[in-house]
Formats: sequence, structure tokens, C-alpha cells
Amino acid sequence: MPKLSPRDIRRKIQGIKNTRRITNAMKVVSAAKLRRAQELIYASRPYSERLYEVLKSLATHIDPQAHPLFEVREERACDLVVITADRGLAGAFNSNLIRQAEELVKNKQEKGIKVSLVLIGRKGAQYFGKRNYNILKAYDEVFRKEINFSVVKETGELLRSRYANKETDAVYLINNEMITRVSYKPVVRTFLPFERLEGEGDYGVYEFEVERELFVSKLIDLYLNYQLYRAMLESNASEHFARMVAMDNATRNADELVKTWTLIFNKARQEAITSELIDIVNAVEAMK
Amino acid sequence: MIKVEIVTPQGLHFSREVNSVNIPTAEGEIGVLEKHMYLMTMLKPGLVYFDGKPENGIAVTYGFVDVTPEKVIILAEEAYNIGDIDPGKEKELFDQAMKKLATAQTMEEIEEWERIRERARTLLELVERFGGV
Repeated sequence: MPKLSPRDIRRKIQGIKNTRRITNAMKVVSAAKLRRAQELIYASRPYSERLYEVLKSLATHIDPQAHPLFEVREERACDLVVITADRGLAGAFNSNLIRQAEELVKNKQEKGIKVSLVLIGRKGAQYFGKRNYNILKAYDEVFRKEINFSVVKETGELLRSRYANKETDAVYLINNEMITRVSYKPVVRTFLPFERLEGEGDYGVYEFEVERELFVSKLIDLYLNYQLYRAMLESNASEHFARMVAMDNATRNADELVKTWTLIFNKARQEAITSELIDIVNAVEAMK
Repeated sequence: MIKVEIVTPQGLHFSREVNSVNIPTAEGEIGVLEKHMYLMTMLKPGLVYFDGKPENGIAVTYGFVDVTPEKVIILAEEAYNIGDIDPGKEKELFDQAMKKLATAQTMEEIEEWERIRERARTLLELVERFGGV
């Protein structure tokens, strides 16, 4: 490395400081977004719990043959929904998830199961789009502002009809999820076939005011859509969390770099002063 | 006493033990007391009220109702206290739905906008009935 002049060093320090300003701003923004995303998750919890409860009491009274989504078949083809972020700069958020998804696909393929993908989020869409995968549908720019419910509806419908038409025998969901307030990791869940829930206690016989089939299928549609929606909420919150952490680290690194280079700058400046002094002293000595 | 919970995707809106509850359903309105039989039905836009007092009711839109002898769960898309309804916004939605319905072509479109119109109409009606108190 050529020796840098104090001026070059100063320019470099300025550059690092500018970067730090950006990473710090991104950190603050992510923290604010994370808070909002987490509030959404907490708010959605009671609803999903009750929905599950209702479905559970219903499940004890319906015949598995009654609804196509309850039917369990031998797995010959499966669909995988991969939820990633639209943007990077969030540490290993996307790469970890994509790696796990790839592993899952490989696992399934080794068992002779055909895998098709539904990709939500630009990063996943880009990655799998460039490689040799069977992609049913890819969405990007999903997390732009508020989570796009039309994506949820569309995906839900697509998966349900594929399952009902026996084009696929199982549907999995992989996404990042907040495990605690301060950690997240990729989680795989079975979306279909519909898990047969064991109801507890005696529920007697339910009376239906509206047509039973209609009620059951509407409720199941809602539940499945809601599950997808929740997965997206979780992924969104984890994304902001991951970005916040990544940007915090970057800011801290920048701080460190500024310190190091300031030291180098001071040394270089001192060196210049010393050599100038030597020059002057030499000149004075020579004139004597 | 029977426990009633109204939940929406925005959170738990109401949870309390009451003597009776009246719920607007797809087939009309049901009144539920303790030890009601098991019942599942669909919710339609209207007023859920307790102990026979409509003036303290909660406006709900579409969703599901699950009745058991001890507990009533109302899964609603939306739930509002009457005072929180914005009549201006609902009026706008209502007008928009009317316009769309005039030109709607497919069955799905018509169903979707009728749903929206019905919702807005009901909420407006409730504001008119109880909002001025």
C-alpha cells in the first residue's frame, strides 16, 4: 500500500463517517419499522388463537372425506412457499432462509418427490429464478408498505385449488420467524394437508345455521389465508430486526475504523511536523 | 352468565361475561343466553349488543360465530364502537360501491361490491340510530 498523505487519510475518514451516518440512519428506521411490525404480530395473535379454537371444535365433528383439504395422500408432489425479503442489507436473513429452502427441496427430491415453488419476496424470486427450479409463481415488492393482502388471497387460492385438484400432495411454508424478541430463525410449517386437530372434551353436535359445507370451506379458507398472512408478518418483523442488527454492527465497525484511521492520521501529521522541524533545524545549523 | 369475545385481526375487541348477547347472523339475529346449544354460523354486518341494551352495542362486519354453552366467540373482520365509525368515509365507500355495482359485469365483482355496500350501509345506519346520543 502506498503511503497515504495526511490529506488522503482525512478524506478516507470523512468517507467512513459518511457511511456510518447512512448505516446509523438505516438502523433507526429499521428499529421504528420493527416496532410497528411487532405490534401487528401481537395484535393478530388473539384472532388466530380464536380461529384455531373454532376450527378445532369443528374438526372433531367433520368427516375427513367431507372436505378435499382434509384428505391425506401419499406424497408424490409438493409445493413449497418461500417467504424472503424484498431487500438485502439485512445480514444473513435471506441467505440462511434460501439455504434451508434449498436443502428441503433437495431432501424431497431425493425421495422422488416433485417440488414446485411459490416465491414471495424479491430476494427469493431472484435467487430461485436464476436456477433450475419449477416455479409456480413469484412475487416481488410485497413488503413495500403495508403487507399486500391480495398476494395472500391469490397464493392461498392457488395452493388450495392445486391441492384439491391433486396436483400437489402437500404444501409447506418456509419463512423467518421471531423466536424471542431478540432472535429469529427460518421455520418450516405444513400448510396442507390440513392437520387433523384433536378436539378435547365433548362438544356435542354442532348445529349450523347456514349450509355446513359452505361454512366449513369458508372457515378453512380464512384460516389458511390467515396463516399465510401471519407468516408474512413474522417474516417482515424478522427482516427489520435482522437489518437493525446488521446496521448496528456496521455502525460500530465504522466507529472502530474512524478511531484507527484517526490514529494513523495523527501519526502521519506528527511525522510531517517532525520532518519539517528537522529541516528547519538542519538549515539553522548549516547557517551557523 | 356467558362469556363473549369479539376478536378481529386488529386484536381482542371485547371480552366480558354478560347475561345475554344478540348477534346479527346470516339468517337474521340470534339471542344467546347461558347454556345455549352448540351453534356455528356466519356473521353479517350489524350490531352485537348485550343484556338487551342496543345503545351500548358494538358494530361488526363479516365473520364467523361459534356458540357453545359457556362461551361465544365472534370472529369479525372489523368491530367498532359506534362513536369510532367515520360516517364520511362510509358514505364515500357506499357511493363508490353503488357506482361500481351499476357497471359491474362478473358475478364475483357484483358479490364483492354488494358486500362492501352492505357493510357501509349498515354502519351508516347504526351511526344514525345511536351516534347522536
